[in-house]
Amino acid sequence: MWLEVIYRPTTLFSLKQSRATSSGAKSLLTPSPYAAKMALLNAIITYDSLQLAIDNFDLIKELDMRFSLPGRLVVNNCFLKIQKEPHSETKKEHPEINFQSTVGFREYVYFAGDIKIAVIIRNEKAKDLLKQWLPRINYFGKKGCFFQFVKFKDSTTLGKEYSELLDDRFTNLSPGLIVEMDDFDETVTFDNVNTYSPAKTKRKKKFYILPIKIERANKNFTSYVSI
Amino acid sequence: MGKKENKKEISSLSISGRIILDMHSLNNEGGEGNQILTRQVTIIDKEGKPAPVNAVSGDMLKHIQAQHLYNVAIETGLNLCSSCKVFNANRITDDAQFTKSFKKTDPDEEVMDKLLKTCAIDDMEGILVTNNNKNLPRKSVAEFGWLIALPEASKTENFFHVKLVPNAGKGTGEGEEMANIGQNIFHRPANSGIYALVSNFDTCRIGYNDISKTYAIGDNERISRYQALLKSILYTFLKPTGAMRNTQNPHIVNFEGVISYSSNSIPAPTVSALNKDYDEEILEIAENLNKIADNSVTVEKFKSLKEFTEKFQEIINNTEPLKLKENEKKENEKEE
Repeated sequence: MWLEVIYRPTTLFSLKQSRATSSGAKSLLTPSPYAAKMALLNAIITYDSLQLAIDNFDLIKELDMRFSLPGRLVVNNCFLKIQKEPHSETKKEHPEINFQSTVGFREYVYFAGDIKIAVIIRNEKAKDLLKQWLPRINYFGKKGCFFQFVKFKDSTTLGKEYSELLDDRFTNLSPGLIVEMDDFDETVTFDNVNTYSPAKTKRKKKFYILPIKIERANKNFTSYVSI
Repeated sequence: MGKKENKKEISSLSISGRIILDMHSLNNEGGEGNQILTRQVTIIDKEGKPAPVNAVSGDMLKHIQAQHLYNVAIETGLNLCSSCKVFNANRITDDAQFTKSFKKTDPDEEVMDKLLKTCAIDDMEGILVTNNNKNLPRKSVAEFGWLIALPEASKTENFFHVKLVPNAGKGTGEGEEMANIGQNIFHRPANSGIYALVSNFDTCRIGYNDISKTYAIGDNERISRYQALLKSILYTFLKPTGAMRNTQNPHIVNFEGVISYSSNSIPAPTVSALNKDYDEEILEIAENLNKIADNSVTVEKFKSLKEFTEKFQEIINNTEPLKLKENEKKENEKEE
């Protein structure tokens, strides 16, 4: 049984690929499982308690997600002013300089319609938790990339518009764009993903096939349509 | 002085709307030769075709709001760090006293408490503390999305401009380029259009330490900061500061939209005003959310800048920031 969650994008979306640097960052085309789970944890911690997030961490960690994009989307190439920490040598010579103004490359995605996130429901506890907290998420990725929760839908199967997970199977693949996204590693603990903990996070790389193709591209933008 | 009675509590507030800005140049992304370039993004129009339109980044809007917040904070005497007192963009990371007040080994929640008590701007606008080799983020309370022009209602024109210098041709040229005292010509843009705006403000997080899950400041200080934040939001739409306002101050023709606010953990809903039915959709979404969240979402429509200011002053005068559930805290740690 799948729980489909429909979100309406209300502005441009940007989520740096985890390999990106602060100077040049291409964006993912959809919230990653890692970003969606972090947003869920953030909502629980902010509006209920740290304890509730810790208690449900394993349940959230193991959520299996698929993503569906609208029929059209456009990725915009932008150069923005950013504040960056100076290099270590500059820091030694000028300890008073904390940030330096520079420019960075960023991509911002415009979605021409709703996005859907589908989660496999294995028990009622998970369903209740998700139904309580997913409507309380209002952005994914970079702060200010707003999404408005619209509704839930229960489904036994997913439509062709959803992404497929590329696992060990390399035959009968659906056409589409292969993207690498992060998810929580099986061994990750709450302490690993805690922003305020010195422990490092553990990401698991997963490959998804998004059923979209490039329609047009130039130096300013790349537009995609669904297959 | 304690909290005032009978005031509605707001956990988050959103503004979605359409603002008409004419002949402005708030969104330049640089220059090529002597042509100043206006920032554009590509979206999908009603026919499903990519359409390049004018856009002002959320960073620009937040900068405008932060500047108004600084003015209000100075005027009302809110606590500010030495850096924010002179509106230094490095904020508290450039405050020597703050840097000296902690060591790398100090717990993050204690450093965050110091930050929140010291400075209202760092509290509400956010900062990444990197002093003493820390890496401590304070997430902003204010969030702005891109201001995006409607494809069918957006236009950019360019104007030829010259700085006339008498006898320019007879100069020696020595040092003129460095000092920028020669005659120069350039082209600059003027943009007009209907722009879709979306923004959100997590007012319940004012003074809230995200690590210890407690409030670092007393109720009165929170209310003062809350009112300053709301005033700065109002002033952002009355006077959008920014690039080239010396000769291209925007004509704000109209501002219409929806203010939504929530009194519990449901975020105040937003819908992009690129969608022509955005105001009706937001009402329907609020209705749906109220079925799962005890009628906690309120939506107020406004049709003009005048109505917006009326609605917003009512919110400023008749509401307070919601207080989230706190972790246990020793009484003597609370600052009233």
